[in-house]
Amino acid sequence: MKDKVLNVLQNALPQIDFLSSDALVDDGILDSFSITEIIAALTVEFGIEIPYEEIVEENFNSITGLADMVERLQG
Amino acid sequence: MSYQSIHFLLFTAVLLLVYYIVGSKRQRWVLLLANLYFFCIAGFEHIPVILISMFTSFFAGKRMGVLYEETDQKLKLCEDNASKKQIRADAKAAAKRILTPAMLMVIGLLVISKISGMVISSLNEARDAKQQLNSFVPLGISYYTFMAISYMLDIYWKKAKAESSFLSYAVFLSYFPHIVQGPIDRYKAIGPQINGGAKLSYKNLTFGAQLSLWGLFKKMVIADRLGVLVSKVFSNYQSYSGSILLLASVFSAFELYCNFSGCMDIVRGVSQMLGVEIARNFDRPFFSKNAAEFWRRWHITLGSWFKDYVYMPISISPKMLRIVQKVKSRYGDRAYKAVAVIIPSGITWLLTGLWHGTGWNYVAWGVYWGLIIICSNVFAPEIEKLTKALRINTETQSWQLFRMIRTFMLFVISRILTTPAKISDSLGIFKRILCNFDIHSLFDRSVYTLGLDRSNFQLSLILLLILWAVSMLENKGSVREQIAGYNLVFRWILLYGLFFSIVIFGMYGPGFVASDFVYGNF
Repeated sequence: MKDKVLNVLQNALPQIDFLSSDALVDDGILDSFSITEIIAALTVEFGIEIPYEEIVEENFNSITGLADMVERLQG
Repeated sequence: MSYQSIHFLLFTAVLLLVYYIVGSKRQRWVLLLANLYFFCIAGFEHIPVILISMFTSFFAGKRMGVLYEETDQKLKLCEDNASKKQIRADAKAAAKRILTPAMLMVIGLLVISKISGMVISSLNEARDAKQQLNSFVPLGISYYTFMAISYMLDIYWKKAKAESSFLSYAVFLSYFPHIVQGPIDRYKAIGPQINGGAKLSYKNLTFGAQLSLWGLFKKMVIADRLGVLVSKVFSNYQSYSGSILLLASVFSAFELYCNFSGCMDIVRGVSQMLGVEIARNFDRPFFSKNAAEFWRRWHITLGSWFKDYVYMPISISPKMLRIVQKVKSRYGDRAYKAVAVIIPSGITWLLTGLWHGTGWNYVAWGVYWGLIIICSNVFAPEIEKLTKALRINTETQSWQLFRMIRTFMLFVISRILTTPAKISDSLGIFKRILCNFDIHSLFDRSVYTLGLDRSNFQLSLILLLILWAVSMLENKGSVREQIAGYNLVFRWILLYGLFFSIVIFGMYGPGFVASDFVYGNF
């Protein structure tokens, strides 16, 4: 799942190095615009609905957090 | 009660004394009484409105909290995934039924108070001076409404727990340091500090007092001095050349910063003395290199509120995502990214403009900032290409300085939109700046006739240099920590210097009425 999510996000946001940090939000690598793009990309590719309560830093700080969230929402 | 008055100084001194004598268990009651006193001084009529918002948001939050606890119990007993999904959906629907009327009530009060103020002021325009109607804007309604909304939505989205103590919530919502001009605090940050109580701390007292003193300096010595020139020029703009109008606009930008951030420093300092750390609203915004960064550093809590409760919910709403998907399949990636930015940003900036005021100049202000931020996002690839084509070395300090000045000038333009009362006056000022600049009027001593004499004008420039120097020091970390590292003699010289410069250079005296804090009537 992690590789699949990484692949989707690298295509959607090629300017961001998702593996560069485990604190993508805290380090300011992701802003509200890029988070919106991530949500749009994940929603389209995985057919999930991401509720607003999932938009928390721990889900977006790393590719592992993002992959875990997608897996949880698919289940 | 103005934050720069002797009344407020005495109020703070008595409050601190009582607050630390009664001990941590009774401190919440002391704060509640202090808040109540603050509201009573403003007028008893301000109290019912905040009480309605307070009860509505607290009990809505409490009911949602109970509902989610019951749901968690049910989920623990349930093993079937489909049933779990149904239980969650039912809980969400039930929570929405609690949230919706409470939100309508709280927002309704804000809208009614804003609209009634607007109607009364337009009626007053048609009446003569003796028949003027009194408009009534409940003290701090824009701020506590936003705080109440964020409290309820955080519980609804399960990002925070509901508070069980009404006393703590009442202290938070009516907390006098953030009620007049913000910051727009979040309960999850302030609640635990109020509940925990505070112990007397030398560092909190001294650091808090220093911050308040610096805030007073910014407000009374810098902002009120610059304000004399700004008021004189803008109130009769037809008489001045474009260069003078531009100078007044630049002064107006610094005046607003010193006025608003000065007030924030005063209240943050007082709150720190009470052991409660409220949110920071400014982070040296004039060092920003683009508009988006500027709005992350200016009125920070308003920006983050709009991001969390308007921008993000719109951006990720299923309806929005469906629109984005359609655009992507029909017009490709570029169009979909543009739409994903334009719709939520457009709505957010329009609402931000309306929050500041209901006149057309505020609508124009919102559209102006919205367009700048949308264009800088949508056309980012073209801007990058152009920068490369022009062979601009983006790593040089001169380029970074250019970006800072450019961002500052964008802010100056936005001041011209909102400083005059009417949009027609703003357009008139732009016209004079563009068509009748006359740079000579800056150097023929006419600047000394704009309300500030020669010595006051030159002092204003020195004060702006001091402001810049302090901002540069902040770059190295907390200025107060740096001062604490100096020896005792130097520290006291610095503090006495600051105190006496407020006494000597502060814009007050017999017959002088200090101007209000700019964001005080929201």
